[in-house]
Amino acid sequence: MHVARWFVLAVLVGGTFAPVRAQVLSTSTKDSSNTSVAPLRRPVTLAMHDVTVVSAIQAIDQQANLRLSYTDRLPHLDRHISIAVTNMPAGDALSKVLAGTGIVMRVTDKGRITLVRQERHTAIDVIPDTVPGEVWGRVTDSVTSKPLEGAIVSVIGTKLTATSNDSGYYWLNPVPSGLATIVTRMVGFHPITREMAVISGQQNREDFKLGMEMSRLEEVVTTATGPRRRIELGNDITILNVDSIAATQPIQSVTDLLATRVPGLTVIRTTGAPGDPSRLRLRGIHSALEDNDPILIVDGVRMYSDQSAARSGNLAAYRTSNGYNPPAPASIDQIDPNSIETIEVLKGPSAATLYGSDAANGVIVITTKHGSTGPARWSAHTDYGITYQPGTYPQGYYRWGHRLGNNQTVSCALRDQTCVLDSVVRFQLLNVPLYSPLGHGSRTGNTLGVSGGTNAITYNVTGSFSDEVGLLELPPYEVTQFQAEKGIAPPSWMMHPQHYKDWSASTGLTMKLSSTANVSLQSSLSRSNQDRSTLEAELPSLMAMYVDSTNGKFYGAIGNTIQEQFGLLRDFFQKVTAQATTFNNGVNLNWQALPWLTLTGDAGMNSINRDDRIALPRDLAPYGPDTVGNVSIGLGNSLMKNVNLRATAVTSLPLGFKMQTSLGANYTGTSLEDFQIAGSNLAVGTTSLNGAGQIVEPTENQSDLATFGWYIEPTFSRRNLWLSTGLRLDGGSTFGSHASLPAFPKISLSYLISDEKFFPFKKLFNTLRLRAAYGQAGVQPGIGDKLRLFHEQQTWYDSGFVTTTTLNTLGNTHLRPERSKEFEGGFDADMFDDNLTVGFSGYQNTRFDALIPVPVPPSVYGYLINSVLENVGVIRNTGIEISAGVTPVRTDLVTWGLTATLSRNTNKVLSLAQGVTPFFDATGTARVVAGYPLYGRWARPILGYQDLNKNGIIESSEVQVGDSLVYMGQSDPDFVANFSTHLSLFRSHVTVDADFQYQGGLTQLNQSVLTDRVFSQALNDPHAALGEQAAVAAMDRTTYGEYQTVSTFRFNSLSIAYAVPNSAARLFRAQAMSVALQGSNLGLFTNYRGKDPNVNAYATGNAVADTGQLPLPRNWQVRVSATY
Amino acid sequence: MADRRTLIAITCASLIAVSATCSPESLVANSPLPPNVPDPASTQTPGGALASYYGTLTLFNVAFGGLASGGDINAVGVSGMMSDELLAETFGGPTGISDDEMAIDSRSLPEFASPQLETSGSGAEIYGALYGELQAVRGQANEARGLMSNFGPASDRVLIGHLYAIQGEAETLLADMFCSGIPLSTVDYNGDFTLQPGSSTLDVYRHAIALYDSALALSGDSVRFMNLASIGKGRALLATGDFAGAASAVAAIPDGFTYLENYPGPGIGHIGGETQSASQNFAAINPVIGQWPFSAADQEGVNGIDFRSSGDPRTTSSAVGSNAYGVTIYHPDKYSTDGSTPIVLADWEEARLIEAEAALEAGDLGTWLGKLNHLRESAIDPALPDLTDPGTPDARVDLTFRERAFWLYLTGHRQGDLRRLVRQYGRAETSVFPAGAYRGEHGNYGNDVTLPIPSAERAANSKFTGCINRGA
Repeated sequence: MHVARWFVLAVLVGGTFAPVRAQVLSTSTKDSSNTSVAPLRRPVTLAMHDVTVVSAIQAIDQQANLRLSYTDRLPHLDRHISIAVTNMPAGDALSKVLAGTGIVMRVTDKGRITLVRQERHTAIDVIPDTVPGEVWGRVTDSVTSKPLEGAIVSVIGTKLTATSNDSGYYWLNPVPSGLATIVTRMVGFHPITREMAVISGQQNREDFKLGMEMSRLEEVVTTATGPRRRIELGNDITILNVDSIAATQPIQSVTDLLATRVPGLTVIRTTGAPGDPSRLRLRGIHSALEDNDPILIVDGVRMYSDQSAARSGNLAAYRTSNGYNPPAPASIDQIDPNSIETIEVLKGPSAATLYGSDAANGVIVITTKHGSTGPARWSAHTDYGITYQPGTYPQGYYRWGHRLGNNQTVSCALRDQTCVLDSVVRFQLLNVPLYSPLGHGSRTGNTLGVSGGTNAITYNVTGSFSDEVGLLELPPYEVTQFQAEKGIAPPSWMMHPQHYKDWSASTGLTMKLSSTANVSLQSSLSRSNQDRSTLEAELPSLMAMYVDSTNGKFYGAIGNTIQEQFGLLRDFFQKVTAQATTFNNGVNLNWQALPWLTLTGDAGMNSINRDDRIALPRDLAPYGPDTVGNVSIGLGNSLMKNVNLRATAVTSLPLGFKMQTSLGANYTGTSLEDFQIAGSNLAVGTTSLNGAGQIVEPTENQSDLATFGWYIEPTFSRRNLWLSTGLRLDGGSTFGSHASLPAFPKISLSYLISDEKFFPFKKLFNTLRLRAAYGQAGVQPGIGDKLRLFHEQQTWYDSGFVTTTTLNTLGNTHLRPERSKEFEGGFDADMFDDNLTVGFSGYQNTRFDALIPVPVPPSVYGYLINSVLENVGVIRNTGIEISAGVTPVRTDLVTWGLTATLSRNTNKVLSLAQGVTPFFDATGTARVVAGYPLYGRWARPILGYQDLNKNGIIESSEVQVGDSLVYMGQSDPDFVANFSTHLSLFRSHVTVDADFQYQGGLTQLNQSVLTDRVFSQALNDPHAALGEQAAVAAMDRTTYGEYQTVSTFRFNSLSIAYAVPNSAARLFRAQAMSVALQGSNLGLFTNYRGKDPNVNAYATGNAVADTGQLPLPRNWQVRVSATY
Repeated sequence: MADRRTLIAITCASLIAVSATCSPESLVANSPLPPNVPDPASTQTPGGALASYYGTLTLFNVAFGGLASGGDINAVGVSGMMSDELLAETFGGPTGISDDEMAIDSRSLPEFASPQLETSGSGAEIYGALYGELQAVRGQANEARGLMSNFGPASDRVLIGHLYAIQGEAETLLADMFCSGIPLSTVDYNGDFTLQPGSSTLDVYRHAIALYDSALALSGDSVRFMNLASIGKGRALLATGDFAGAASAVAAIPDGFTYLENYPGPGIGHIGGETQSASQNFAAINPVIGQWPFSAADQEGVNGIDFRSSGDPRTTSSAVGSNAYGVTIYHPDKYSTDGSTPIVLADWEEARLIEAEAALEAGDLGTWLGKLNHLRESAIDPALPDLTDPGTPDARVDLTFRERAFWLYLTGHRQGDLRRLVRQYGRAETSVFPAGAYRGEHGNYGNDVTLPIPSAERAANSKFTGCINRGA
């Protein structure tokens, strides 16, 4: 047996360790010196199905040598049960067997263990006695009332500790009678400390309802090499307990869950349209590639989540007549948040090395619910809410005048010397209901779930459905116009174009195959349908439009001039749809093959099928010649397959050290297939290709990529010290056939210094953990990036079709993999009797050979090739993250807690490679310059201005603009702070939760300023500040006036929940019910001149710009939740 | 039992160890290219080289006068709008005419410092795309020459000469259309690319002349290609002011020679039952919306030639409907409305016109008038009446350019000619280009006589700092 173990260990670590005497592992509790309870801590392993209680008791007695005393008159000894436990303390196993039988254990002061009938007590006598008592009870989630398994219940001042079982029950015995202080801890929850009277010789019940907290050292983290306690890791990893968050916050998507709860994560929303994606960035812009997206792993299965890829937009894009390029919903939001148990966020290479090169931008690990033992527990909630656009839009200025000489009535520009001003009017069509498309939206959501199980199998099934109508609606003016021209009312989709529906069904199942093996199966199917129209793209022009009420004519901004418009809206008649069907499934097999050897295998696949369309139905365009209809269709499929195999061996080393070695391999294959086609001259009443008079432009794109890596991770630990090392070798089809195999090392250290005897601040710190980690990761160039590739097609030339090829990519044979090195250090502390928790991390992430798509100017090959990938230099992100939680008030009646996270990130391009000169990105809005942040903002500066002609107006010629670009700021926030507060009143019958976010340092490109400038105060009001006049006047030469470094403070959400009394809940046959009023986006305080700086016109890439797209709406909803 | 489990465990662990230590490269490194991506090796064959050659020709075909995705992004159309040949009528903008086309038509084309300033309606969408199409021809020609030289059959070396000539045509059109300061960056065959600063208009023409010379040196076996290169060289030399050289270059062009860019029109371009687009020329009326994006102009902007009202058979046009405001749209009779008429890229008529202008420059009035009348007698049936000498130098120049305008109507020459009138004959821009009120209700014509270089060039080309000169 021992020889076999060392054989495997030798294989795992390459035979570099000499054998030492092995010890059988046990899960014994901290102290075994207490002889009275020591037998109960002996590990037992049971796999018994449908046996009597007495048989199970005998088996435990035999394995742990407890020498139990009991009589056959005890109740329920003949009841049939099943039990499967591995290395569980005998006491806990006994508790499992005895649960619900009315039998309890008693331990005499001489250590004799007796089983007796449970007795009721009716009074509490606080009388010290030499005979101890027993304490038992149940630990549940204060919000969901679900039992909590694994809670640690301890009697302070003693060595007594118990762990709650899968029904939440714990048992402590013997507890010295008299007043006792009992503390209950659970990963992810606030500990509760409570005094109670332990009655001599009696069974004393004490239940605990634990409230969720952000993070604890004892939390279990899912790493690439399996679950680990947070305390063992040298990295800071954020863990979100989703049920607890969702119960008190208005959560509608996974993005909502992440948005304000992860230090170091910035979320930039694309628009405020229902279902639109967001850009997630962990610890700044790491890679200079467009793809800075973290990877997404759901129950061990990689999910396609490349939000920066061009195909993340509507696959039928570039077909709209007004240039509207709509984004499509993100794949991360295809996951039903109600089906998630936890989300863990690994922020960089130091934490994610073993996940492989794809993980250089961080990893989001999602674990779905798999249920727990017990009867079926049903839960349901339903939401109904409304959305609207808060506040009003800023007013514009319009100057009426008449022309000198002919008295013609004209728009009289401030600087127009040939015009005499008659009046100045202020206006904003978006604030006028007749012309504004901003109305009210609504949302309904319903979720139903059930979970439960036996010792042999646990399950969870969750189903959700939501339906949201966006706030955009066709303005009443345009409705009238449409009816007048077409003779019919606009169709409903045109009236309310934004409509987002999604449904999801997910199941999780865990089965025990034997006492040492279990298998988990998970499967989910979801579909989202997003409808919208080109009406959205009209918002920017509507912001800069004036209507003359005397003649009904509309005037808009065309470049630098005001011109009469054809009508109110240019385009609102193209329908845009994006449909995605997502299927995830996976299987996970764990086998504790030997007490010291665990084998794990994961396999799964993620498939996303998309059907996106942009269509102009025949005869629905109210003006213009394109009345025969057209449709563009984009069909896409992504398929990710992955397999992970892992072996973990544990052994003891001399000097009290323990070594755990994991060796694993994983394979991930990604296949993408997209197909686009368009047709026109549609059949009446359809938006289909069937019957279309002309079918054009079919295109097809396919790619298959695969990565394979293997890793080894030896971890050494000794009591309160954990040293983890690791190495991953990566290969992949994207590397190119001649690339070397990159190796990525890692090392991390975690030290619970507060456990040391010499630690001097024990009164201050309950726990203090120091940690440090170093790791590497890389980003590989794509296969097409090295090769010069061609586009081949059959093209008509002269007299027939010929085969033609043109360049598709330039290729760069000199590319090297990008390598990222990250160092992270920090501490975690629990202070003041766990009333204050503090976490601090500092990190430095350096990218070498940064891969950047350097734009290729059109003088090289037109627009058929826009960029070429190059290793351009070194990029560094440096930052800190702080999280703190404090509970100033914690009584039975009132609990008030505050949590805050702060993160600061500094980004800089340290150097550019030889021959690489500063350049703009593909959008032309951000630039890469050594010594400045990656993709920083640059513009020609306004050096000065002077009213030379003394007319009180600054004209363009009076503004001095510098020739050289100057740095304006960075394109992502460098400081983010989140604040949240939780107030629980009347024993949690009323809870109030609110959270806020501050962002600073984002230099926003406000392109709506450019559009609006002809109607701006600066151009129309001579009393406007000269500086503002100069900025607007110079916009024909520089974007200087469009940039603004913004700070925002957003009242993100508020939830007021009321737990309905049980008597009332029972009227609905529910065990518990709650009603909550919840709101989101409740306030925005900012120095930004535009409407909302936190929305972005670009769905892909790294640029951020506000072109006037729909801001984030305000949402109020009522949620009713019930458990059965 | 325990021994058996131990054996299984060790076996599984060993399998994991073995699978983990096998070469990752061997598993995934040699994934095939996606099926829609041609293997680069397939281009390095005689057939591949020929496909690259045809790639150049089709890119030029579209850039010169074909329908790209935008419908009116081609040299003939843009030249027509900038000059007095065409009015913009593309529907779409708030004024009823696409703002981008209107910006070009009204010569209001500011040069922008950065792409985000190039807002919709600035014209950049059109001229930027044309710039890209012509530059793509240059890049593809270079790539194709490399493949033809290395892998093409020896008998096809004459095609290399053809590629030089086509690149010369693309550069001539660039110089005709865009401001002084055009970067002639290069993409090297099988290598890297090299950025270049802006070249002056004169330097671009000179570069084109060098390309034509290379074409002439390699095209000996093809009279057609030789003649194309000769006329192209003559056109470029004329633009540089080397009138004698231009005349010499085209002297050998026989009457009747024509090099056409062909467009099959609708109903021809089918593969596998699917209709292919982009096989029509700029004159095609959009079959979906039933509208032509232009209208044949007549006396546009005060200075415009009376193409329509003169009744000249070379430039007659017919009404083909109306725009959104009810204004009649005229379509040139020279081209069919289905976009299937070939467009002349170079022909003997241009050669004779070059010779005539060179003779005028040299003071040989007899040859000058003789060449012009030779065309009127021989190039059209029935023949046109002979011209007479108007008697003054300016009038002779006017007559010469009027004849060029009629003979070369809607072939992409007019914009270059108007610039030459300013550059070489000292005419004021306001007396040459359309000027005054723009179509009555849309303000005035602007002052621009060239297209700016799109700011995407400035954003990505560190050696390019903008137009050297926006003048003619």
